[in-house]
Amino acid sequence: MTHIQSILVANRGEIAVRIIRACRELGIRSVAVYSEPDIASPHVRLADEAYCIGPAESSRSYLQQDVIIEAAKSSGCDAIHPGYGFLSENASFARAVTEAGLVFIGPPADAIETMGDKTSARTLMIKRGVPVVPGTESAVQSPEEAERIAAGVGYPVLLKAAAGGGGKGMRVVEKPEDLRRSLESAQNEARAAFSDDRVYIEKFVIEPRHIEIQVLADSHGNAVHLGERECSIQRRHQKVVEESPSVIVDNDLRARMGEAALLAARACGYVNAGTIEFLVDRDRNFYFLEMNTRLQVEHPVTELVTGIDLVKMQIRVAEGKKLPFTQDDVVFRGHAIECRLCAEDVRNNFLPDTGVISMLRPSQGFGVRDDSGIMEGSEISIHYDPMFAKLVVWGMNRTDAIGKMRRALDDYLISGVETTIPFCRFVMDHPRFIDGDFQIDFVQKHFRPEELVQPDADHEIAAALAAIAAFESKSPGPSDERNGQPGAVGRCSPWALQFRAGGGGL
Amino acid sequence: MSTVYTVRIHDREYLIRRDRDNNLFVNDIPLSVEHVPVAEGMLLRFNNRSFTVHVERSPKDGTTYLVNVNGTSIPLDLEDEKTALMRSLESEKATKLHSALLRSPMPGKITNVLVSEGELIEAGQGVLILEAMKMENEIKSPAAGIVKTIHVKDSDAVEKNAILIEIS
Repeated sequence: MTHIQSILVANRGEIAVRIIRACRELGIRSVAVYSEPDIASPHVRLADEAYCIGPAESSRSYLQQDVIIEAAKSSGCDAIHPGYGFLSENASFARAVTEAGLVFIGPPADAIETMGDKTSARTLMIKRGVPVVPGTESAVQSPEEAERIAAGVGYPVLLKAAAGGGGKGMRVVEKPEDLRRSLESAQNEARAAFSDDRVYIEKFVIEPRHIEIQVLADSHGNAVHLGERECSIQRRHQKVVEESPSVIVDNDLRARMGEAALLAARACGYVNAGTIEFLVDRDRNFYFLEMNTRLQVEHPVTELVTGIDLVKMQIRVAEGKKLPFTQDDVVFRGHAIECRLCAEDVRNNFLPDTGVISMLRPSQGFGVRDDSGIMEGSEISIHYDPMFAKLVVWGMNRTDAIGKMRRALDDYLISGVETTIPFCRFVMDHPRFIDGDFQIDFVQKHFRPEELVQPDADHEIAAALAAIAAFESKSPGPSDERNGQPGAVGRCSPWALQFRAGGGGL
Repeated sequence: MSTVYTVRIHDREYLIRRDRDNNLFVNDIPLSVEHVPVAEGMLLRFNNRSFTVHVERSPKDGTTYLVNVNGTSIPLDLEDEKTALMRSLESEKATKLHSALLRSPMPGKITNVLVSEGELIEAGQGVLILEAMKMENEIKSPAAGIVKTIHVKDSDAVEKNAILIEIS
């Protein structure tokens, strides 16, 4: 058993801050690495030490395996925490860290490798009895074979072009009598679009939701699951709002999904924190999608409902310690919701935005957690992910949590970039979300930018007055022109003057 | 002599007038406003409500401001009397030319141009792919018309606000 005394955090932004906080609470020395433009970032300031590892481009800084390992060694660290993204699911990095005599705070490299390959992961899951979306492993050879397979997996089925993309060569077949015709047209379409008419069959998952299970395993063979996270609110196939528990998961389903998740983790010899993603259909059948062999962005919702600090557990498990609790000790309390705050223009197809944060006043109060990687003056650039913070709330129940999130989103003051806050506010107000009746196509089906909460007339008047003050403070006021006097500082408009003096009414 | 401003927000218009005695009128209704400088910018109080305001972007030229009010960004067009007069003269000229410019919403790299010059396109149609922040973003045409000039090609790096395509 090792006792970790210094950890190098091979990441940036909010997750680097999150890990550094855990280190400081445990009395572990934290070492940050940063790219040149990140020099004044919170993670650099909060760490005990920080080392510059290269220019802005990730490929020349945060992805430089050798430079990072060298920084860890020369700064006297005994472990590296990769966070999420960047090098976190890179098996060769995990291996290189271990070979350098350092502890990799994450799963064994072999587990990363096995689960990183979709086909090998699926094959392994089938072998171990973890449910996957039923279907063919290879293209169907004949209509007769297709009929046999479709009957086996059960209707409706999905026909999918092997070379597929953009919905071409894709057909949903509801009834057996439609299969032959649909297969033929899918093959024709695929041949025309991709010059490749191979078509697969899989079960069509009706009204799918994305629900994942958090697992935690030590190196002594102990493993527990920490319940589910509902992550169906997505845009661009990326999650924006996550919650725990899910409204459709009851104790029985949680126990069954948890058991399947632990089966998956054991199958690949998993140690440390990991997440098994499932698709869950209308009838609450669940199917293995993939395993994320790292800490997840949305881990805080699990922390809030279980009271377990996942990052600290990762560190303890990496030291070779046993999990300090068993499955029976894990209790779920209340409801947690996370909103990812990203620099994006939600009115314009979630297009990423860049800029300098000119004002920042995050929300506070009971049950509100702000995991942030920015400060006033931080620049959100094109080089990194647009997610700059996560707003997470805990409430006594789901209704309480939604009310808290609504309030926390309204309280969050930020200026300098467009953010996903108005979208998250839209979700909290949407009857489908409130009723728990939503699937992974929520954004396509229900999001209408024109229905975003609009500022009322008083807000608009306030905006107008601020713009007028800005206008008058930079141009010589109209009175100056009239009097033929120069627009000197002391002679600018009465409004600007009053703003500066801070007195009187406009 | 009073000062008059026209402020447009979405499809709404506010006429804001200040008379010789510094009394303020919004659409001819008097409004009494208190203001206090605060760390975040300015605190405005009227109608017994508080508004923390902060000008996010003010134009070097042009009339479009972006003002943050209690956390919400509000884009607006502000014109004083002189600008309003200029615009009414210019708008006659502009209607004759009638062409739209598609500008880059952010810095990035062009990875695919989906249209060609002379092509008839619809408003909202995807015209090119801009890669930024590890994501491919489809840029849509702001107007229907004919692609007049394409100013970029595959793998060009573009700055924010660079002209990408002219549509006539």
